[in-house]
Amino acid sequence: MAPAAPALEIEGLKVDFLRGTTATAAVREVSLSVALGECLAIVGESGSGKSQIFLAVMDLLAGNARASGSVRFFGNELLSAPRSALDAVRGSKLTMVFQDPLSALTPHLKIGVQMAEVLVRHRGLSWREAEAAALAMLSRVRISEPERRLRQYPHELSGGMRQRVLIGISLLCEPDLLIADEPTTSLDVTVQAQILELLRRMRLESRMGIVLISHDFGLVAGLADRIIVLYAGRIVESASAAQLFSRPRHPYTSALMRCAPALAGVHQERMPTLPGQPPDPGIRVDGCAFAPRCSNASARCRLDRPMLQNIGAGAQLACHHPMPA
Amino acid sequence: MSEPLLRVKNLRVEFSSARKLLAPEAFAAIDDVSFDIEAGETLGLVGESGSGKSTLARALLRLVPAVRGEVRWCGRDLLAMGARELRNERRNLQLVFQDPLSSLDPRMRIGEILAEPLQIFEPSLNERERQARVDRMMERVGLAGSLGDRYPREFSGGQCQRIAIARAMMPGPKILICDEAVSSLDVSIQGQIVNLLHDLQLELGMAMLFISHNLGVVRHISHRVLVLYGGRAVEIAPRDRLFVAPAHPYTRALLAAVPALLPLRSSAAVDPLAGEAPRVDEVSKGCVFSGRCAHAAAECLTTRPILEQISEQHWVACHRWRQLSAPTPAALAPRAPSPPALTPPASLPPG
Repeated sequence: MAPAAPALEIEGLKVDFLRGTTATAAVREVSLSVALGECLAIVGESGSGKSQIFLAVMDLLAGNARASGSVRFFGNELLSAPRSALDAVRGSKLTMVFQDPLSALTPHLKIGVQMAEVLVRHRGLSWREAEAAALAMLSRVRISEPERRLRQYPHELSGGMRQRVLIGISLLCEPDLLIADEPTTSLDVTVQAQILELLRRMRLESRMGIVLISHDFGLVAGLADRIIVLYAGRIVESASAAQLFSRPRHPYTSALMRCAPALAGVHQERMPTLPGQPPDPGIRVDGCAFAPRCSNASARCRLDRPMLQNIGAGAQLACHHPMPA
Repeated sequence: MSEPLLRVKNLRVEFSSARKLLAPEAFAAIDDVSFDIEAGETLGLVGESGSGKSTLARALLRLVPAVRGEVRWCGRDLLAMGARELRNERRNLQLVFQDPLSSLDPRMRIGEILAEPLQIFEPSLNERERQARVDRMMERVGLAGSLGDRYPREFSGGQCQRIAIARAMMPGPKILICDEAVSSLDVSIQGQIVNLLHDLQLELGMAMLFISHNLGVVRHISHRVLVLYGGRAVEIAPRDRLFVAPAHPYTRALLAAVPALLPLRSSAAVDPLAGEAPRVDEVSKGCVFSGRCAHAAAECLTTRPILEQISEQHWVACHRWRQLSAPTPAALAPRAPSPPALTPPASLPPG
């Protein structure tokens, strides 16, 4: 099967936070692409830069952050684009769902107004038409009593329902790409399962691509086609989900998977751990950023940063001493 | 048989509903919850948000009042203690919170934060003795003694949680209550903190009430696990029993909802529990889980099940556990995927 044309292409993206005269790198030369119909998962711990990449794509970075490199959406450059060009796609063709559904909704507007507004603005629908479409969308994301919800305020809905509303809003204009940043982290585990099921179904129903950002390998496992692992602002490994779960090559990927506590199997008194902690983003690291915590590391790793290289089957790896294939 | 370290019997905690300002209605955040914790034991407490996990912890520390029930602490009635007695007793009941940074005073140095409990509970110690105890505890939780001059903001989340644990351990508590103590930490750091708690328990012998929504972490650290739903205990069992042979349909659904590290697990196999936990003021009678339970019968809507013992140390509150645990394939197999349902789960009849 020929790979579909990429919907989003990111090349050499850097995000720096400026504090006074010093710049702290949050994202260091990240390149990736997502195709229509594909689900790409971005996995990393806090501070790995996973959210910053996509905040840069959406031009939602903090005021003191500077993005450089290239972000193209169907070939059109977004990073240097004027505001109007960005607004033409953002929120309609390219949408994003965040972790905290309460703070992403406007507290003093009814759900129906917040939903309809998207279609009035982006599609030029009348308010009446837009409300009808909003109602249909609430049913599509399986919200109970959709007519009543349209007239309710965000605080009257549960966390799971708010997240369904946000996903519904993001799907109203039939986006080509949905970016979901930790969409279930603030939700209970049974509600998390419902939201994942919803994303899975939405994906089958349309051709849109999905970027799923998470710290949890287990969560992305049921949805992702391809997974990118980030550490300290760089991609350390990228592979198909099947390949990554069966044979993680980067020692960090492997260690992170081992650290996830299991619900089955022989009970161990001690949890598997990864010693140390991620490097301080303000400190410049010459070698591999993971070397101080890596059990495979050699002297070379501390001096010479491994480049991200193709290792076949569409996979990429940045490591001098990978785990056995 | 001697009394356990902590014995909670039929505990009830009420809040009043803010929805009706003029005629506030009391509803139970915790109702009829009973359990024991033995010295040196870890009881895991799991449940979703709103299940009453934190309220239960707060009631044990008397940070919220219990309206009914009994809390026996070291053979004494904790709920009847006077203010002074309670204050003295709190050195034995210490708490670690979820957000390590906000639970540490930003204007105090780490050394001062750790010395404070000693100034309160052991005022007879002199400066040097206090400092020695602080240094020893810092070393025990894996912090270099030279860090005592630093402020909380200079530490990472994992390190702040080490400091919070060290502070809680300073007065030598008999029980450490950990309320989502590792939930805000990265996966690679979580294990370090869980292992630290485990080592401290082996060395110092404190009991733990370990509250978490992360079932994997609970499995690692707990000896027994209590499952709360809608303010009620629905199942209590030894760890291996709970994870291998859960008896309550809610426990089963909770375990099934945890994503496994298996790529693209076929979507047909996943049939998430429908609906959401009831608001505490919604369920009036019957089983608290009946609104979401695939196995609910008429009896479940009208009569509240009480905890019954089904095997050694294993208790469950479910009318139907016998039928569900019988080895009929129909009861054990996951439910067949249902067609998209737009209606909410059947709500309980009023009254």
